[in-house]
Amino acid sequence: MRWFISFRYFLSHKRQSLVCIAGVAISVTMFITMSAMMEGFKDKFIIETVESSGHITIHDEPRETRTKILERIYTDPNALLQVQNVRPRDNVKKIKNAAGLMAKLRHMRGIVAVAPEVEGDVIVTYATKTLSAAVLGVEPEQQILVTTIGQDMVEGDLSRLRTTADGVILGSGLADLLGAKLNDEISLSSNTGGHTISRVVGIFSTGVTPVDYSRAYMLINSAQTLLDKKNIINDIVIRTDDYTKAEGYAAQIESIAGYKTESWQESNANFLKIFVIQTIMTYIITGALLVVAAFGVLNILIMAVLERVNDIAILKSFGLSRGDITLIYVIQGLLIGLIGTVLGEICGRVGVSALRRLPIKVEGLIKTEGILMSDSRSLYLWAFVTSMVIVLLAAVYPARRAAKYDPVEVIRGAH
Amino acid sequence: MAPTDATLELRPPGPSAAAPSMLLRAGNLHRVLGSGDAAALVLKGVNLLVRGGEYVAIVGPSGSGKSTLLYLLGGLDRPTRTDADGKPFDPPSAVFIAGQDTAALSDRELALLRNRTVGFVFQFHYLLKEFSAQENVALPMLKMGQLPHEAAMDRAAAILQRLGMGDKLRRKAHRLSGGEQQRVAIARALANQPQVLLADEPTGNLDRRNGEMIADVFGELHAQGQSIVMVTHEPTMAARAARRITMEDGRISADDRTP
Repeated sequence: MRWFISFRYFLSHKRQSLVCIAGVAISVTMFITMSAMMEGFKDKFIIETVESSGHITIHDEPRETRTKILERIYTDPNALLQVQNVRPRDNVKKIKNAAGLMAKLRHMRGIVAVAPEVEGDVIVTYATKTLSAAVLGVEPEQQILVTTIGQDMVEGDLSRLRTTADGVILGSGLADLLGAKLNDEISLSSNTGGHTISRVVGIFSTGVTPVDYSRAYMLINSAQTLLDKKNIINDIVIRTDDYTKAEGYAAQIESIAGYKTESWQESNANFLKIFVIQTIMTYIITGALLVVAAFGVLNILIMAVLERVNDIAILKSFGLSRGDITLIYVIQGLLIGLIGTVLGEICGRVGVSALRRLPIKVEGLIKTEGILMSDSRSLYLWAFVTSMVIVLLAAVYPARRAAKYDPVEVIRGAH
Repeated sequence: MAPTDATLELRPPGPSAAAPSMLLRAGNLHRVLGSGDAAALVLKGVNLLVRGGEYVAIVGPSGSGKSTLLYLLGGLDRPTRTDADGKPFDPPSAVFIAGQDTAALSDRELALLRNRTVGFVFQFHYLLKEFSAQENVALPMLKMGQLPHEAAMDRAAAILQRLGMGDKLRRKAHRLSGGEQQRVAIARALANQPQVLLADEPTGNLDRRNGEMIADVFGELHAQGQSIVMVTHEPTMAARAARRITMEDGRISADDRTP
């Protein structure tokens, strides 16, 4: 009976109901497209970052947790401490017994693959162009198991590092800036005095701009010679069975390894914070749109209540309770919300597909050939739940107001 | 009003219609309307008993408390329990409908009691304009929930036919004449076979011809055993009732019965 009355009331105000439905539908469409765009970029960044640099990296340094000696003695934070003639220890940074540690890690649960790396900064020169870059010395066969470098090759082949003496693979951005092409010879100089002429045996593109513009890969032995790091391993890169659990694994590994062990989340904490802020902003904007649409629902239902005060009185006279009257108006809100939300979900889906097809080249933090749109079903679920909750909340006030009308007062008013 | 459905039962089931029983009872009934300086004591200790099968007309000047009494008797309103000083009336101000003390019922229970026991007819028909005549009559049955939708609609059609509205079942309320609208309102009040029909100036908004037609309907319903309590200003309407209660200044000043 309540549904019967609600449907009839709903249909009696077709035009107003349609405007309300359109408002809800537009808000839900915006919610889905904006969220999909934001999530799409975030997912792409995370995936590219995680896959191109590994899930976890063990660095050749301890985590700085100890308080410095002077600060331990002089605890006053306002004290001015001056130490003179300090001679820093001339430590060579490396992971001790890296082979033994890697063997141990390979037997850990959740660890899929491990690979050693040596790293250092070099000056790259090609013709008249000179740029700085980070060289990673890798074992190609192991590296392809922990990162996607093998799939990221756009020219050449990672395995050519084995077959070409002092071969180097450049990031696509770095190669572009240098003007270097496949099989060109470039000069590499390290800050320790090492120098070599290397042949470009490959060009890779991870899609992560900072990586593509600054990284070069060499065979580990060649890099150790160039960087004057004979037999030294700086980092161990690890791939896990689930990148979302990397933080937990990293803490576990750090306790075993004794070296600073960073998950991809820790390494990219700054970017992830930006994404959090971006997410909050997006939801505030799309939420505000939904709230505006909900005010439309509130408005039309208040009008519907005011128009039907006599109906409410007579319905109560033949036995409808306050709860019945409340439900009649909440159901009307539900109908507007449901139709608007479903339409919005359909339009959102169409919008996401259309935006994905737009041929726009994006080159910022990540490089893509179109707008990245997330396909996550949870976005649609969130849009549905958020929209329905907001619209239903908007319907509650007029519904409760309708239920409060005293039928006797209404009937007396008509006399 | 030619009956088209001989099996259709309009009057309530059970003993109340046939045998005199305590259908409605008001005891020391008080009602204050408004609040603060605007508060007015509209009913001042009314005592009244209406038995099953009675046809009662409540008459009296405007502001004497007739309609207020009717709404209280039908459970549409609740009596005032305490005087201006907050002291409970002694004996308590009370209304019993079919033996049930309305004070003991929640709003929801009172609404259910109205649905099953009472049928209201007002001066203005208050039909729901989005619904047809048939649907308006079916609504109380749908609320009661004892009949499926189709059966409720069939019964609504039968009641309307009984009241001479068989050819206008699907017509929307606003497309009916005043007399027709009031007949639909009566049909709606009779939908759940109420033990008592409470009518507040049912002819007050009608011309003479339609007024007489409604009076005839009431007479026939009473003849079939329907209990009726009616507030009216019209002496001719009141004259048709077997019992006439006159109210003045919130009290019953006369209670006359026609032998």
